[in-house]
Amino acid sequence: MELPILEIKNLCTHFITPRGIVKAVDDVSLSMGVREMVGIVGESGCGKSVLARSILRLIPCPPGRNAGGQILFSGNNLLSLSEKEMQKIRGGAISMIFQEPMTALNPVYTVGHQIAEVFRKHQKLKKRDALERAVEMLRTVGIPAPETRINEYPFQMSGGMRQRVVTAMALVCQPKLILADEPTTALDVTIQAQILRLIQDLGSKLGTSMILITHDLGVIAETVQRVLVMYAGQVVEEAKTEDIFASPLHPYTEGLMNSISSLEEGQNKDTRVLKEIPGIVPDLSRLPAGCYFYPRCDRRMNSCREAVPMLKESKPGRRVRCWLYG
Amino acid sequence: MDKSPFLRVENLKKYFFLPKRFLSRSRGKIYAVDDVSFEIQAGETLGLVGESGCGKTTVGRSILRLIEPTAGQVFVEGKEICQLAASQMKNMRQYMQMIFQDPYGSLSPRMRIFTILKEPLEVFGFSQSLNAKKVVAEALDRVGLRPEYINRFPHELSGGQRQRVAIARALILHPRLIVADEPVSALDVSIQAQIINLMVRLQKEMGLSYLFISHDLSVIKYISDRIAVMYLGKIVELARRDDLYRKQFHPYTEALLAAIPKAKAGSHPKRIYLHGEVPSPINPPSGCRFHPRCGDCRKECEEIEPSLKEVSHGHFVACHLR
Repeated sequence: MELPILEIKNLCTHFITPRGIVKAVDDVSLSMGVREMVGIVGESGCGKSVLARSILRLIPCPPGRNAGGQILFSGNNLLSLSEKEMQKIRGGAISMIFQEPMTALNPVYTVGHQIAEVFRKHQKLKKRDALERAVEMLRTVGIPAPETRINEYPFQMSGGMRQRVVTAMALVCQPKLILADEPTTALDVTIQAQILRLIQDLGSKLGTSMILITHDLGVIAETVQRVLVMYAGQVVEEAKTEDIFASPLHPYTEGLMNSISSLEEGQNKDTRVLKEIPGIVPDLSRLPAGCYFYPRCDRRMNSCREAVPMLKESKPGRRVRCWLYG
Repeated sequence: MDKSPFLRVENLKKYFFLPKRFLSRSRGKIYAVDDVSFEIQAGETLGLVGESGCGKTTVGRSILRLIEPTAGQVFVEGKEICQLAASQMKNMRQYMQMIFQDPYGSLSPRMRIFTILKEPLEVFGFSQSLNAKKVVAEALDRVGLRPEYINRFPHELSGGQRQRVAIARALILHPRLIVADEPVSALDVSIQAQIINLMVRLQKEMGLSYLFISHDLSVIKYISDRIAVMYLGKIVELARRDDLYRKQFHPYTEALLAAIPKAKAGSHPKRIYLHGEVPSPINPPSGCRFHPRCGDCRKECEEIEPSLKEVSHGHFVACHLR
C-alpha cells in the first residue's frame, strides 16, 4: 500500500466566542490515498467547511484556534509550516474550490486576470504567458470562446460559468489534492451534472485526490468512493460509499438516509409519511451531555447520556461513533 | 376533474422592462412569464418546477398580485381578480396566502412571534372580535410549536422553527390557497422532512390547495398531485405526477429528471447531459425556446413556437416532436 497523500490525526479546531469555546472540528481523523475521492457529508453547522479550511489553515486566528492534532500532507505536518511555506501550498499542491462562485471571485478583476494571477504567483510566469495559459485552463473546463471570455468580469457570467472559472483556478498548478466545498450547491441540477462530470474527469486525468464536501447524499453516492458523516463537529461514521448506502450504522446516518429515501423511492404524500429526524442540530456552544446525537436519536439508551462514544472500527475500513456498536 | 377549479390561470404574462438605454428608442423586455395557463382544484397540490430564472417565482407572485401581471386572467372560484380594485383584492387575500423561501428574511426581526402572527388578524379587523392570544396559540399548536414561543423573537428560533412560524402566519386566516415558494429549500435535509410532513398534514386537515414551487424534483414528486415543468417563462409539460414520472414527453423534462443524483450506491443512471445553459429571457430563442439545447432539434423547432397540446389524458406537452 502506498503512502497516504493526506493524513489528518485527531484534528481539533476551536473558536473562542463570548458564549464559550465552540468545538467546530472535534477530534477528526482521516487518511486518504493518491487518486482517492472522499466525501464529507453533514448538515449546516456540522463543521465540514471548517475542516476543509483548517487543512489549508484558512481559519482566522483569533477567534479560531488549532487545539491539537496533525495534518500530514505527503508526510509533512502542515500545522508546523511557516506562513510563507503555507502560501506555496495553497493553490499549489493543495487547492480549494469554494462554494459560492459569486463571492469566491473578485468582482473588480476580469476572470482572466484572476486565473493568470495563480500562474504568476506560483509559476512566476510573465503576464502575457500567464494569460495564454488562463485561456487554456478555461478551455479545459469547457467554457466556449475562452479567448473572449477571459476579458469578462464575474458578473457577466452565469452561475455555472463562474463555477467553472473557480474550478479552473483550483486546477492551475495541477494540485495533488483538491478540497471542493459544496462545488455544486448553488447550481441548477442540469448544470450540477455538468460540473460533477467535469470534476471527476479532470481528477482522473490529472491523478488528483479530492475531498468533496456536500450536504447532498445523491452527489456523494455518484461521485466518491468513501464517505465521512459529520455531526456537531465529530465524525460519526466512516465507510465505503456502497456500504454506507446499503447499511448505515449510526442512527444519524440512518435518519439522513430515511429523510430522503421516501423521496427517492417514488413514494408520495398519499402512500407514505416522510420519516423525519425530530428536533434540531444542537448549538455547538451548548452541547448535550454524552452522545451529541442523544436528544434526537430514536435508538437511544440511558447509558448514551453518560459519555461521548469513541469512533471505533467495526469492520476494516468502517468506523462508527455510537454506543450501540460497543 | 370536471368540477370547476378553485384557481384558474389563463394566458398569464409578466414582462419586466429594462431601463431605457441612452439614445435608444425601445426598452428591452424580460419575458419572465410568457403565456402560462393552468388550473388548481380545491385540495390539490400543483407542483411548479424549473431551474433558476425560469419564471416560477414570478408566476406565484403574479397570481397573488404581489406583482401585477402584464396580461392574462386569474380566476378564483370563477371570479376574475386581476381587475379588482385594491380594497376588493385585499379581501381576496384572506383566501390566498404565501409562504416564502427564506424564513430569515420573511419574518421581521423586530417583532415577537405573537405580533407577527397577530398582524394578519389586525389587517382584516379580527383582532377585536377574537381573542387574539388564543387564536395565535392555536396557530402555533397547529404547526407543532410549543406555546412558550409566543413571546420569542425570530432570531431565537432555528430555521425549521421559523418556517413553522411563517406557515402559521399564512394559515391564521384560514386561507384556501397557499402559494409556497421554495418553502424547504433553505432547510437542512432532516428538517425538510419535518416541514413537508407538516404541510401535507395541514393540507388534509384544512382542505388547502397548494401551488408548490420548487427546483427540487424529489420534493415536488413527493408532495404534488400534478406537476408543471417550466422552462424560460413557459410551461413545457404538465401532467399528473405518476404520468410525468412514468413517461416524459418533453426532452427538457427528461433531461431534468435524469440529472438528479440518486442517493443510492452503484446506481448510475444513464444521464442526458444538456449542453450549454439556460438562455437569457431578455432575448429568448426563436421557435421552441429549448431548441438550442435540445438533442432532437428539427428545422420547425427553430421557427415555430410549439403550443401546449394534450398527448394523453391530462398530460400536456409543448413540443413539435410529439
